[in-house]
Amino acid sequence: MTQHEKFLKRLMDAAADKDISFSELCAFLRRFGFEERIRGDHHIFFRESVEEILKLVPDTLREAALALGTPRWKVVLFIVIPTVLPGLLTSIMLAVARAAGETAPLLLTSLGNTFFNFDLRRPMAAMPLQIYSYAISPYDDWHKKAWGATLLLIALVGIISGAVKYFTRRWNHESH
Amino acid sequence: MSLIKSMADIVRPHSETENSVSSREPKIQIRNLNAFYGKQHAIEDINLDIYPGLVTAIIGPSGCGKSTMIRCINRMHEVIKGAYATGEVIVDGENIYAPDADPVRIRRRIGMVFQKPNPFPTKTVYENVIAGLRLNLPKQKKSYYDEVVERSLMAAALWDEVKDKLNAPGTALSGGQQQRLCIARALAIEPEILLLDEPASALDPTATLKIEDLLFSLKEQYTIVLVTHNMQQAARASDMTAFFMAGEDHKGRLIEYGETKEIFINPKDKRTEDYISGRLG
Repeated sequence: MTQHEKFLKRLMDAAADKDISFSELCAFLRRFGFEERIRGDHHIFFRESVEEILKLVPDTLREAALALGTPRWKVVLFIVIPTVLPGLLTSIMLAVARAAGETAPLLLTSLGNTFFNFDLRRPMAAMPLQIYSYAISPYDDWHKKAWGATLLLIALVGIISGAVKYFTRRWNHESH
Repeated sequence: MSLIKSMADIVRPHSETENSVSSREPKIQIRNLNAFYGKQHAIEDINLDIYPGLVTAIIGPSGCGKSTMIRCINRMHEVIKGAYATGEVIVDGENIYAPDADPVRIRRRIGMVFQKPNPFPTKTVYENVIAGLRLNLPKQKKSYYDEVVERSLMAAALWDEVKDKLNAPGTALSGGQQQRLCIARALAIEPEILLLDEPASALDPTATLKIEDLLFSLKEQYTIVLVTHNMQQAARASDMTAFFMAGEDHKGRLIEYGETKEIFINPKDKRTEDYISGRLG
């Protein structure tokens, strides 16, 4: 077993937290493709997202398109974006999944509305917010609705993730 | 000296290039060309006439500015951040560095093939060939594209190998095939000039020879400029050779230019002789 596998086993065994050293954890995150930035005693881990993925397209491809006499905007639209589409969709999916789980910011931004509303300037309903307000209500019926909405939310994230996975795999398969 | 002699054996027998050069009008005239990367002065005061119907090779040690030179001919040099050029490159009497010249339009007349094969990975062989047409010209009938694909792949000596896999991804071909696909892609837009920046440096000897044979068959129709660090390749494939070298100040300059035969057998400059005989670079 490699060191990484041993570490993974320990992590999955759910043994006590103190078994996992900080440096091991950092190495683990780096292995997952996270970038590490150290500020004093803060270790900040982050993952490159959309902009960085666009930059992943090798310059040789951009040059190939430019040398054919293609204007820059067409190079981006027809060459760069299609090439990175799988990565781009993954990023978007991650963002959607993350946004779907957010509730606290919605309290101050979307504010919630019990009626249907299309006007962006007025308070708008948001499912996580609705779940929250139903869950803290005293009514049994509302609790049930909150559970149902939670299931729906999870199902939506699951469906989006699954669809993106399916399409990116198909595209990757076609292009390799 | 023995090396020079063996080089002379490689040089293809050129059929009356001498007469033809003097009788030809230059297709490309490079005048006082200077190219920069930010503050770095990459090539200095280049003056060079390139003739149609011939293969002109640019040779020289690494860092002598030969790639920079070729990229100035279709204004691809300035694509790199901070890069710019001054001077004139006159193609058919028109200065492509004139203030009102449009680099995008210029590049449609001048095809380019790069060091590493770079077919578009999301496109099939067929789509790769017509990429330039589809991206930049009004849509045409399928039969028109079919014809362009066949003609371009034939010209790039690739048709027989890929005619049954036109719908395979361009990146599924071998390295040598990918490079010929890139040549076909460049030819599909019917350029007058074909620039090749070390097109065979990532290929094996067999694929390299195929590319060289291809250049030989294309030169009747196109003005071909070939950058290579491989002297044997220059000797085999070109009619004219320009030798570039960077001085102590890292600025690339044109040292000697003439018929390939002359450059390899009777170099006039000591530096050319040193480079060709392998004492330099």
